[in-house]
Amino acid sequence: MLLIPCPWCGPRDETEFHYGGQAHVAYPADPGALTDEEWARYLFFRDNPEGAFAERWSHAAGCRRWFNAVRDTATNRIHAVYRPGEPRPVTG
Amino acid sequence: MAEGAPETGPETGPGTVAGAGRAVRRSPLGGFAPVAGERVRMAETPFLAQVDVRADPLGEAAAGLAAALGTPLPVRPGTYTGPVTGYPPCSVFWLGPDKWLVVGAEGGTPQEGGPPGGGAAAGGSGPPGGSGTLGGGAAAGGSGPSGGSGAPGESGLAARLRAAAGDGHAAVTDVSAQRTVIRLAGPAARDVLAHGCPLDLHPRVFGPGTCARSTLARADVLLAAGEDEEFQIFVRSSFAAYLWAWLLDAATEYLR
Ligand SMILES: [Zn+2]
Repeated sequence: MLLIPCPWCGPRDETEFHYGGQAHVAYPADPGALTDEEWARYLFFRDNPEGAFAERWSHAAGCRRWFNAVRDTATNRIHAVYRPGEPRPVTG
Repeated sequence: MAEGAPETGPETGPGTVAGAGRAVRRSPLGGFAPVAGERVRMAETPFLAQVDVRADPLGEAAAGLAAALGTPLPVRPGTYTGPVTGYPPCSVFWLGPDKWLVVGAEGGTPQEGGPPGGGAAAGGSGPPGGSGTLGGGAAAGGSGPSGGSGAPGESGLAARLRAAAGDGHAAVTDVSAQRTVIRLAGPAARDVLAHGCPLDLHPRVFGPGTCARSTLARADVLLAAGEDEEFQIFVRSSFAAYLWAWLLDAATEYLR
């Protein structure tokens, strides 16, 4: 069980959260110009690193905010959480 | 609900209000007898006026609301203020950085000249202790309370808060029917909650004046800690009977 620090509410049990996948996936500037393959890559293809990964979480059963977290996919250690619109912090 | 009101069954229990003619309003837990143990006490507080407010905490609407309430909207996460007594007595719970729940007495405000919680609307006689008549405010179909034009069926509190928000960018929504409130108190209350709540309920973290939306027995709740180990559990009406039964079960060992 993870203890996830919501940027507003502080540390809360993982059961209160929903996972939102990779963070910082930008919406295409001109979606109509994309080929089918480029569109499919935007929709379905995500990084799958072993190590630090910036991802989105929603505090669904708490304050209901979305936020970003940098989590180590190998150890589940959460290195940082930050609010939407804030840049990804540099983590060690 | 009146403390110590006689429990005589679902039709006339403390959570039931007989109104004009055949109209009968039942609270979600009107059929359940309050629990009064030495270490755990449990009772429903039905029919509170509850208003969801969304606004920029630094904006014009929030300023208007704060002025009307006589207290700023709480901006510290997980806290609530109140009951504030200047306005219609109400409490303001932090739900999110731009979202609050304002909770007041039934109907939001007593009718002009009427007794608190009583009122002349609908012509019905309330139960012993007067937990209210059928819709203390605009819900009775009468003229709404002063201070705003309410939508049909909404509490006077919502109308007053909407008026207070003025032209500022805000959403004021009456959600009175969404949840009912279970009051859980006594020296074992924290332990009962800890049976099914992932929050850190240590008094150092969750003391008087704090609140949190979380889950209790996997049901969505808003939990608020008051003085003297009394907690308010806001639970959706459709989950109330389940949660009451779960709480009874969790409290069994403290009721012996
Ligand atoms: Zn949160």
